[in-house]
This record gives sequence, C-alpha cells and structure tokens, in this order.
Amino acid sequence: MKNYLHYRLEDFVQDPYFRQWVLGQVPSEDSFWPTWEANHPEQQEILEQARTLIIAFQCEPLPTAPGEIQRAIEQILSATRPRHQPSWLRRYGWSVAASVLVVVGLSYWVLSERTVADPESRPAAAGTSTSYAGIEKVNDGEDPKVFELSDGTRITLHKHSKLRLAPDYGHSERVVYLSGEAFFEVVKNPEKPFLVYTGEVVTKVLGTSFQVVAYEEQANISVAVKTGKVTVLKQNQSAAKPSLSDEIVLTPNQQAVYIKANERLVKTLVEQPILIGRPVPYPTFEFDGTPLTEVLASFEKAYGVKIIFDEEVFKNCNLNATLTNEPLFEKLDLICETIQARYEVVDGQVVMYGKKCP
Amino acid sequence: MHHSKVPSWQPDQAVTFSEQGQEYALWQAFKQGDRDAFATLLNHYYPILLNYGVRFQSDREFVKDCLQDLFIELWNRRENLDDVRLVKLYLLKSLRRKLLRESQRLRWFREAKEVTDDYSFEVQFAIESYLIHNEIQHEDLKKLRSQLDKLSKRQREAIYLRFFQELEYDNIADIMSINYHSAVNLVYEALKLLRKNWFLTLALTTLFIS
Repeated sequence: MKNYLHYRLEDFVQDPYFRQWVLGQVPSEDSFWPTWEANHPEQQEILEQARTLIIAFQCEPLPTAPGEIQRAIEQILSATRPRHQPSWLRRYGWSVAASVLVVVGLSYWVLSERTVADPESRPAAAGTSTSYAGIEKVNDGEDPKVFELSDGTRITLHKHSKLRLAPDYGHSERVVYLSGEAFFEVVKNPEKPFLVYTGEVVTKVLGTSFQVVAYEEQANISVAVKTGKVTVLKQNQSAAKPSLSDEIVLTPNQQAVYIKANERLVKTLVEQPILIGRPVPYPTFEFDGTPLTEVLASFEKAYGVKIIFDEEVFKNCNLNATLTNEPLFEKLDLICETIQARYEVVDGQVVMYGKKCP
Repeated sequence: MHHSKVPSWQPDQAVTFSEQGQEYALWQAFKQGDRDAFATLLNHYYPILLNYGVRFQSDREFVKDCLQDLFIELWNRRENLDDVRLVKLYLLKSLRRKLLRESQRLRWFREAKEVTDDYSFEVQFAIESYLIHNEIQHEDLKKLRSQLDKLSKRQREAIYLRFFQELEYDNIADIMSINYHSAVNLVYEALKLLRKNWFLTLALTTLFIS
C-alpha cells in the first residue's frame, strides 16, 4: 500500500488509482477513497484541490459533425485499397493520380477555352467592366490583408490592391480579377479551376499557392509559384483562339513575367528559390570531395530547379563544402567562386558554364 | 524534482495498457497487410490523433489532410515499419512531426522567413466549463484564466499528454523530443504555478464540503 499520507498535491493529481476514482472509473463498491478521506480530515483540502485539478485538466471533447470521422476513415481505406496493378503504380499511385488530374484539368481547360474564348463572355481584366456585381476586396492600406473565400481558398492582398470575385465564383470555375499584388493559397478542386485575370495575363490553377504582382502602373506582370503547378496564359483578345505559345506552365520556384511593352511572356526563376518537397527544415548539404555533378543534382532535387551544364567539362571537379540555409543563388555563387565558373538563368533553368578542372 | 517519486500510470491498476499484447498482435497483422487490422487501428486512433492535431493547427481540414497522408504512408510502408510496442505513442509522434513540418512549409510560403521551431498548442481545458457549472464567481474564473494563459505552449502540451492522453513521462519526452527530466519539469512546474498563484480559495473548498 502506498503511503498516501506523504502525498503532495502533485502526487495525488498523478496517482492512477486516485484519478480513476475521481473520474468515476472504479466500481461503486470500491470504497477505499471515501474511507481514506473520512479517516484523514486533515488531508481533505489537498484532496479537494487534486480532485479539482484532475477534472480541470480534462480536455473539452472535440466537436465533430455527424459522420465526419467515419467519412475521413473511409477515405483513407478506399485510398489504400489494394488493386490489381503493377507494383510501381501501387507505390506511386498517388503522385501519378495527381499529375493525371493536372493534365486532365489542363486539357479540359484548353478545350473549353476555345468555346468560351469570345471576349463577350468574360471581361478581359479587372477594372475594365462596370457591369460586375461580384464581391470586391480592396486593400488601401500598407499592410497585407488576409481573407478566406467560401471554398477555403486563402488570399493575402498586398498594399493598394484590389480583388474582385466573379458573381458565379465557384459555379463551374473560380474566377477572380486582380489589380495589384496578392498571394493565393488555392484549395484543390480539379473540377473547378481557379483563374486569376490580371490585365493581359490569366493564371490558372487547380490548387496550389502562388504570388501574382500586377500593378497597373508597373511595366510587368509576374506570377511566382510556391507549390503545385500553375499555367499562365497571355490573353489574346484579337486572335480567335489562344495559341499554345502564349501559355507557360510553372513549377515551384519558377516565375512567369509578362512584359507589357512588347507583350511577351517569359519564364524565369523566382528571386529566392525555396526548398521544395518535404525535407527536414533545412537539409545540410555536406560535400567532402563530392563530384560537382552530384552536388548540382542534389540542388536540383532540393529546389526543383533544373540545372544544365556540360558533364564532360565538370567531370573532374570535386567540392568540399558544408552548405545549409543559404539561398540557392548564394550556394551557386559560392561554387562558381570555387571552380571559376559562372551561371545564368535561362527560361526558368540554371545554365552553368566553366572550364575543366585539373 | 525527484523523478524517482514520479508516479507511473501503470503499476497496480494496469487497466490502461492491459490490451498491450493484443495491440502488438494487431500491429503485426497490419504489417502483413491485414485490412481489418488496419481498419481497427484507424477506428481506434483516428479520433485520438485528430484531437491532438487540432491543438497545433486550428485548421481542421489541414490536420485531416495530414492524417490521411500519414495513414496512407503507413499503409504503403507497412512491411518496413518497426515493431511498435506502443502504437499510440508512435502515431502521436509521427503526427506531431508531420504537422510541424507541414505548418512550417505553409509558413515559408506565407512569409518566406527563417524557419523556427515555433508552434502553438491550444487546448481548452474543461476547467472553465467546470467552474461555470459550479457557479464559481466571476473573479475566480478570471484569475484562473489568467493563470492558464501563463502556461507555456510546452507546458500545455505536456499537461495535455499527461492528463488527457494519459502517457508516461518517458513517452511524453519521446513525443516532444525533449529529455525525461524536462518532461517531468514541464508538468510539475505547471502544477506548481497553478497551486501557488491561483489556488482555489475558499469558494471552491466550501463548495465541495457543502
């Protein structure tokens, strides 16, 4: 038998037997605690305090909608249901399925765009039509404002920016009109593509996060991708059909810039590429006599950025370095410094030039 | 803190973990691809994990997405999983890791800043509704609330794991990636703080006696 006489408050609170009694988990014929309490009136106060704390530290039950948990469990069960399929598909089934959705979604869009491309059906840009009665969000201040749309999509509207929702937002598409700058975190819905109209540029996604900068007074419109895949198109008012060359597909860390002056849409990299995928917060890049080709491959993987170079030229280059959370371009600068090479960003890719290492 | 004195949940009343052997068998069956075992695990642990997860992220859909990913990964990797003795511990820990990682990812995108190990842990202890139910006066309630607010997020999490999930200190330490003594200290300091500053003055005691 434990010596409960020496118990302090903290000990009672954590004593399993006492807890069970307080929480009504001992059989009603078990009279140990009522008896003990009666026999030790001097301990009564501490017992009351312990009792209160035990009850107080219970957690409020989580309110759930009827069937909510059951539905979630069934989703998991059906997602993992074994099918008769090749093992590679079983292993990568999900990512394959995801990219198929993207592709399907894209072709659906391209097809349907041809039928609705007539300019009457869709006002070209924010601010050009007054007949729209959709919801409008305006940020006149200096600080970014965050708001959430009915489908859970979250939008961070930056200073002096305006966002308008099409009145039929979420009906068959999710269309918004932006002037200024905003960061979008779009809730995935392959059936209802999310489209941002900004002047001459349309950005289309199924669910992802990306940044759009389209101030009317600025020379460029830019779209930068953080996650997922984004399609950027030039809105061609004069042509009857949008031509494929006016469309750019962006992956994380890539950016599309539309140069208003010469109406050109180009692909480049964002200023600060961030790590993609799900690595540990900052993977350490430790290189000890590591071939440069391997080093660059690890960057490609971590940042999702294609790095092009002549393997023949760099085959004898090895690197000793420990790199961590420097931005990608700083890492590249360091390496170029070491091996007397240089790089440039072309069409959303890094191209490295250099001399043979001895 | 004398950790030798730390009470354990298990010793005499081993009710909580009496099914440990059974659970081990369940885990083995799951690893061999038994769909029923997987469903049993899901039914039992999904609500527990969801309850834990929403403490970190108020966005419940986000937590559910993480849970779905977690269980799909478990199923896909089942043959390579370790022999887990305490499934609950393993799952809580995996979910915590996933949630923090995913939230960090979200934060990067929002503000491309340096990542810290910062996280929040919000838990509504039953104490408020309990006090209201017992007609505790407004002043006492306010006092208590301010004391609870003083608890750090780590203290809150440790208390939650200890008193709601009923875990042992070594398990709490494991989940929170801290050492055993820190886990013990988090709970004891929180208890001491509440006892010292707030305690349940006369109002409450008389209530019980009456």
